[in-house]
Amino acid sequence: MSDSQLVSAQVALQRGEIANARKLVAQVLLADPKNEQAWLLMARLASTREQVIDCLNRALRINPHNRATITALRAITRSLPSTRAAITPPKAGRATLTAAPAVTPRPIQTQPTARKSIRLTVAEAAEPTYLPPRRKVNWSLLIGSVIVIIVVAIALIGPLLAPQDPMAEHAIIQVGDTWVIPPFNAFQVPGYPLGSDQFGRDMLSRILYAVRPTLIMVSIVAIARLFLGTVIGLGAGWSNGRLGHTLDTAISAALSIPILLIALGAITVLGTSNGLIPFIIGLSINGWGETARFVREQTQLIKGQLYIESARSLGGSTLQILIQHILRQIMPMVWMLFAFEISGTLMVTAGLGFLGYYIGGDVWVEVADFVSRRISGAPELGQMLATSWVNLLQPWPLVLTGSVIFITVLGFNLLGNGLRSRLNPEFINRNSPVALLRQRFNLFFEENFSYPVSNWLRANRLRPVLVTSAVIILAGSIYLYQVNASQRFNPALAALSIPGGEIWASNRVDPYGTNYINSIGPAQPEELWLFHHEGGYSGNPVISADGTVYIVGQDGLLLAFNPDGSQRWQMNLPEEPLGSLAIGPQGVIYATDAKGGLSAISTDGNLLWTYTTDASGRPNHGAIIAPDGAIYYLLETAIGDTLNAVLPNGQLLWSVKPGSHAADSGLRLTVDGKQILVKNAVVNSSDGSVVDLTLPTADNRVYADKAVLFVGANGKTYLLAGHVVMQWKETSQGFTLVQSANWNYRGAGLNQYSSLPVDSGVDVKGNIWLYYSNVYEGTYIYWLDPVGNIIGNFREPFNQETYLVGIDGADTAYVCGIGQDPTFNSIGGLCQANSPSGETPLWTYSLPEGSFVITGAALAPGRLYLLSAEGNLIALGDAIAVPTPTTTGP
Amino acid sequence: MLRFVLRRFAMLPFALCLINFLGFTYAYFARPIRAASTPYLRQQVSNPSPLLESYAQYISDIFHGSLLKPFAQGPQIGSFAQNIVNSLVASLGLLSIAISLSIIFGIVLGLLAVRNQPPGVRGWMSFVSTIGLSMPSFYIGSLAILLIVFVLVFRGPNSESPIPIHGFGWDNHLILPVIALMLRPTVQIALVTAEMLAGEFGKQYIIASRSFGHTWHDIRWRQAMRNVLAPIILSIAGSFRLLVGELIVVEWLFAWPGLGNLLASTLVPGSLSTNLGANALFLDPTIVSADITFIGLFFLIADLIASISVRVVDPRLRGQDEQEPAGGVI
Repeated sequence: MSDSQLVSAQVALQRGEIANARKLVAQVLLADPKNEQAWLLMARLASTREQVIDCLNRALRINPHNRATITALRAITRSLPSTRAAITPPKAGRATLTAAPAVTPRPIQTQPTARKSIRLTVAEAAEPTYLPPRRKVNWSLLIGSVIVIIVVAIALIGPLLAPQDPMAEHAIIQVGDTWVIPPFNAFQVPGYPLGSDQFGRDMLSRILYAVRPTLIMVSIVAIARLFLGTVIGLGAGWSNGRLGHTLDTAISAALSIPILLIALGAITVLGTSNGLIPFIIGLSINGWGETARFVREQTQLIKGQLYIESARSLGGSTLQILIQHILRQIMPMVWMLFAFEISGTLMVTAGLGFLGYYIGGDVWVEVADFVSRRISGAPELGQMLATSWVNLLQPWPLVLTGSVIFITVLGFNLLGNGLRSRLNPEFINRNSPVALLRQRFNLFFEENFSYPVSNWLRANRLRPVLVTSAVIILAGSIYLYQVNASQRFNPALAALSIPGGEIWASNRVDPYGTNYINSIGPAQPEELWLFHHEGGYSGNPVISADGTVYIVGQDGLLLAFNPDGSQRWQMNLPEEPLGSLAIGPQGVIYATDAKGGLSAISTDGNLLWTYTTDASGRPNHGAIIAPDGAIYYLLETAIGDTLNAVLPNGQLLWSVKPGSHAADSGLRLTVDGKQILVKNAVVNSSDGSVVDLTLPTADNRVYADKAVLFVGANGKTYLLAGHVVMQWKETSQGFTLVQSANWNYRGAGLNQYSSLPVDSGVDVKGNIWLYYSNVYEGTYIYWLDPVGNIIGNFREPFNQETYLVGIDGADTAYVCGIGQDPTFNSIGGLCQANSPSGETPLWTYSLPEGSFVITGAALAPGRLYLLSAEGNLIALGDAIAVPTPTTTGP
Repeated sequence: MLRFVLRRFAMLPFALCLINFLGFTYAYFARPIRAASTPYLRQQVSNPSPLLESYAQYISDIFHGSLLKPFAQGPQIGSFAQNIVNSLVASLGLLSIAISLSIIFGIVLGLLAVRNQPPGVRGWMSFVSTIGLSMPSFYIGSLAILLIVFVLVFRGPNSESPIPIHGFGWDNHLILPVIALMLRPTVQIALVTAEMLAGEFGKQYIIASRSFGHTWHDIRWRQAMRNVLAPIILSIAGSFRLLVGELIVVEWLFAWPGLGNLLASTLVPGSLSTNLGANALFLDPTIVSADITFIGLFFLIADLIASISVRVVDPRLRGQDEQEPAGGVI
């Protein structure tokens, strides 16, 4: 009983309720006059100096060896040097103090502090100047704070300090005359002060990058644990009934079961590739036990206080008392608990990482036939641990990553210990400027916010319930709507529009080459009409804003069709056409020809001008038209391609050699119109100068020539490097990687240097599609999210003559090819529509008799136009009313 | 007391059955979910029958001795039961040695850290405990391995490791796993011992004993230690639980073929694997449930021993059993 009263007194003292504290201590002393702790506490509560001395004397009498008491008495004697002269020494070498007149003056002996003994009288002690004992340096707090500040600083600015790209791999490096293979040891290779991991990635840079995501994750988990622990602890400590017992049992259970086991199980189920959520859930399920236990104990302690009883008698509700009285007592401890939670979470995260469970999940690389090895992508401490364990004789990466975790955990543990000491009422200095400031702030907050809100809530009992319910329902509805809306086609997400509002303006839809239309394609493959032209077509059809479809036959006949299939006009081009047509912002049609020239045709079928050139090369992909009307097209040849820029009036703006050789890739204009991407080169559109840009694939002999720069439908620039798509931007330092979608292509059975994607793109949401097609492995499309997690894939039954038409606004991919049955026998030309998540195609369309190979196609809202090698133009769509098919010859 | 012990023993089989069922259920549901996120496993992992039917089949297999048949696939040799028993023995041996050493070193360290007069814990204990509790077990293990690698480098080529750093054996193979396992529990037990004793030394009866002329040695061992034994036993039980949790990581690190390693094999993708599936044990419900059951058994036995021990050493707790209704929390 006395102990709890003393604790209550300490709490009251901490709150500044001196009178209450004094009363509590007095009760203890009445019951047990020989309680040393009570006398010491009373000394702190005494208002006059003589009372302080008397209390200390009494405590010293009970425990003569208490150094703290002796030190306090010494301090008092030292604080009055002027009075010492008047003191009469009773015995040499001994200091004698007298107590206040209110109590029996009884001299006590202390350690000699001076050669002269002193005797204090009441008159001499009239001006008390009590000095507390000198406080010890809180080394835990000091060192812990320094470590934590450094760690937080690394989390904030670490990536800026990283000397190298944390993702850059190096298979072998020459140091002097020797070749070194990873993992490099510390200081073994210049530029790698902390060595490298097994893939030759700089450990220092990876650590500088890794601290941030790890710290964010553990902070979120720590907050979640803190919240759960506080709520459950409050309930367990407050309730004596069934609820209390249940929560007590829950706390015991949470403390009994290892967090690592539960986290492993939960994360396994939820999947590591789903980002932070599985880790937050897995690590918070039973990690709150320690906090809950602490809060429960504190709640039980505070619950017995008189002021809680007073609050109850004044009509305070349980919730009010818990929030306004108990929680407020516990809140100062929150920072200490937070520090411990972070260190605890980090320990478990490290264990999980070591076992291969980290944010983002597994990435596999094939190291031999049918054997894969797991690697990690973006740096995170858990990930680094997972892949740092190469073999027993190369523990350096593991030790280094482990050391970073150890130092961070140590820092937070020291900080927690330091805060625990600091928050001990014995060491709190309530007169410090910070404490005074805090008191004033608390007072202001209570008077102006806490109490008014509390009174309003009390006066309007129903309102808060209704308001809270409404807010929860509203927030939930908004969230669900957003989740739902994000999964549907959302035109608002569309960042790019085709200049002039055309529907399909060039070979790859638009001048940016996204191969993505911002509308929905046909839901059903109804054959609306068919047009046959002997000899076949060149390139893709193009579709103007009003739905007019333009196609050009290989014989040079340009045809315009209305959406219903009726022919609008036809005209003969001056040269043999090559590549797709293109439509400019004003509706002008541009056709490239086999001699490298360019013709412009008006919307009513009149030839406007023709540009001819002496440059060699073939414009296999046609032209693209910039929003300002400038026309760009590439003449491809093995001896060096030529990029031409022509003004809308037919005059040459510039002509350059971008450095590519038979690029076999469509041109892409950047969204700002300032640059043109020519496969893996960048050309300024203003003057044709080639931008000096070193791509990450430059040193890779296989990928260097296959890398393709492209623009996503979200307007951002990307690089297709092998199987990996990287978002990048150009800065003063050249090519700057923004995000790399490293994904488990090995796990999907793809070879590192073969079976590379033939096309790729990005939709408006930033999701990446990779289109693979080869004779041996078939045709398939993988969908990845921006960080490389697989969000869908489907396989087409095509092994040859495959053609990816494009992706529509619902991310449906339209693919055509010659279908095969399971025994690899051809079953004729097919087209299929596939959604990213669909196992089976949305629809399958068999080409009509006489059509096998699709050579060109274009998508429009609810329409798909196909050009077959056999000379058929087929319009597929949703419309039930099918116009009369027309068949004409040249 | 007897009633308490009987009640706890009676609950043991029910708790184990529940744990077994939960382990089975977990693996049953987790297996296809986890496989679905792995492209090459998508169409290969599915549950052949409903949960209860599968579980009934599993129980039936246990009673019909089917589990004594060898594994159909996988790296292990021998029957299911044989593998589980081997793993159990390996883990139990490792745990027993680690916890025994932790108790001895922890209590000795705690006694060294406590200060008689004025009562308190010596400063170095705080330093040692903070560092010890901040070290993950795999980090301790990797540091030890690094040290051995340095020794090997120092000795030159073709030199042998002074201590095995990998594998199983009831000889010096135990050294590194035991060190990695026991450090944190040791520090924890030492800290609790020191703090409890320091708190005890401040009490009146210790002063009285001193005034009666008892030596500090007598006071420590005959009086103070008796009073703090109950919380120390509880902290040992807590340390044992911590140790079992760490078992997965340590056995995985040192390739110790125990229950932790087996569980990790079922849950962890592994550094090397075939494209056709993570490994043969991938979230196998029978293995996961058996493994979890034995790990649960460790917990329950540790808890039971601790509960009985504290009642033996502290008579005050025996009275509580008689007064406290069933379900009460001590």
